[in-house]
Amino acid sequence: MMARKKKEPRPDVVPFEIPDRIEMNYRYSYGGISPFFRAIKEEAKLLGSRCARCKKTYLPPRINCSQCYRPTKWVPLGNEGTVITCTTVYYATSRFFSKTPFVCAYIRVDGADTLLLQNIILDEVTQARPGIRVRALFRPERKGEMADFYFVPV
Amino acid sequence: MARRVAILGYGTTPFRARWIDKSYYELAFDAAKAALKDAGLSHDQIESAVYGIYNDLFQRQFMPDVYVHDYLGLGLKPSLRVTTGGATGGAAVHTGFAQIASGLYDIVLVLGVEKCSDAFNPELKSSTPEVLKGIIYSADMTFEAPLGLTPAASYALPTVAHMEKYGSPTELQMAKVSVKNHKNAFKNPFAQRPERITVEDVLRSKKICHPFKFYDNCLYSEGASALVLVSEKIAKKAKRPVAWITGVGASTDMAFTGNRPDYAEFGSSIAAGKAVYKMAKIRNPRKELDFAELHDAFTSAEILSYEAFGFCKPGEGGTLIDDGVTEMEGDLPVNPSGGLIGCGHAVGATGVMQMGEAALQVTHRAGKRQVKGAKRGLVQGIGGPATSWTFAFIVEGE
Repeated sequence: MMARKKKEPRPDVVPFEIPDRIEMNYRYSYGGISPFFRAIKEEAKLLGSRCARCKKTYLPPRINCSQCYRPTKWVPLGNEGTVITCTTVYYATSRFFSKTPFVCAYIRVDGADTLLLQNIILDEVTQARPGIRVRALFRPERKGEMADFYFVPV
Repeated sequence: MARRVAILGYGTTPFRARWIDKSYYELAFDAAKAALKDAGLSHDQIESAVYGIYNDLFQRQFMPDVYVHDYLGLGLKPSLRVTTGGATGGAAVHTGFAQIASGLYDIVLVLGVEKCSDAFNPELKSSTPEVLKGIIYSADMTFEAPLGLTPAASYALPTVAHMEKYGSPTELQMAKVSVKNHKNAFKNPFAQRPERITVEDVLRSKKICHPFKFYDNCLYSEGASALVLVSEKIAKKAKRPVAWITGVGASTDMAFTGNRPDYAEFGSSIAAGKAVYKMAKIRNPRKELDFAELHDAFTSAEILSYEAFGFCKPGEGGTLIDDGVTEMEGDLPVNPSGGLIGCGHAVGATGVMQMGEAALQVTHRAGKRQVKGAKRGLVQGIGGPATSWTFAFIVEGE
């Protein structure tokens, strides 16, 4: 065991700091789930994926059923769902710092078996809490990413 | 049959918000030197090294472990890095344990280290938002990270689901955990933030992410901790009592977390708990354990872990803190070190520090924070999105 000095020791060296940054650019492919993001961008629609064998419906989608090891099929889903759990974020990462407070929720979209994380934009009367019904709204300008849509209370 | 594995040496640096005068490999050196001294061994005797370093972006260095290995004078010996989010230190111990239990080596250095506060946002003039960004690149980058998810939200979502299912933990019960762990840290000379606070202080502190306030969060820390793990053959030569790792349990839950059947439970901790108790032949953890070092990344995580590890029935975790069971004076003290909330969370080092703490407790070398007559303790490390990974250990005295 190290003996700790009673007072915080003064630094042995006069620290010398430099600003620095790590950067990386990508052309990220969504791979097999490309149709999901294309449907968001071009048709403002939510697609789930359903296993032909166990009928489990995934949203977020998967092209393979992780239970049955079989391929899944694309199925259109509606825009409404139920909040399963949610939180209000008051302190965020650099990129989202200016957007606080905002709500993150796990939503079970009708017809899906799994939960989808999304933001809920609230009206003035509704509190974010498990059990409330919500509806997806798509932004007019869409890039093919999750931030292209959000949920509002029904 | 697995060979027995002992903790022969432990050394740590203090955990701090920032070690401005030491790099990550210099911190690692201090911890390794202290652990070797405690073990009564020299670095030449180390046969293999396992490094727990969570985040390359924090270190400003990919593959930081190879540089640590050189700096420790262990060149040409085998080494391996593990990285499993908050559970990184636990995973490193698990790996080192396996190397000895399998018969591959007799003396293994397990070292965890983390620097994070060099990450800095020049516009906001703060490390915190940049540290959180460095962590959230570990969330699912396609579906979840783009929505502003934070580490706190990753724990808040299962906490709210648990509150919805059981009506607990309450914000008051969570505040009591914060008060306890900040208080315990006073007796730990390596702790970053001992503080005398009240439940009102916790409840009134700044909102971070519902239901968490500022004082419900663990600290982010810099530091290094090291263990010298040895086989029975080496342990027998020791001139003082050693600690034995008599159980290990590990589980990885679904990391696309919307795919989990029940969002309200810490599935990986429940599974790792069953495994660790089976190996250590523990049937009634509440009675057979003398203390626990649990992964209190947030106050609710400690309470949900009481339940996951069978200290009480599901939904009743809050009553243990209400009844004082997990206080230092209680039946089953939890986080004598101060935990991640009071001692700190130097991610890669955390699990190693918790194991070192447990080793000190069962060899009755824990100083002012000694749990009287401690013979057997549980250690838990959790990490990943909504506690995907759990590594659990039982540490016992002679």
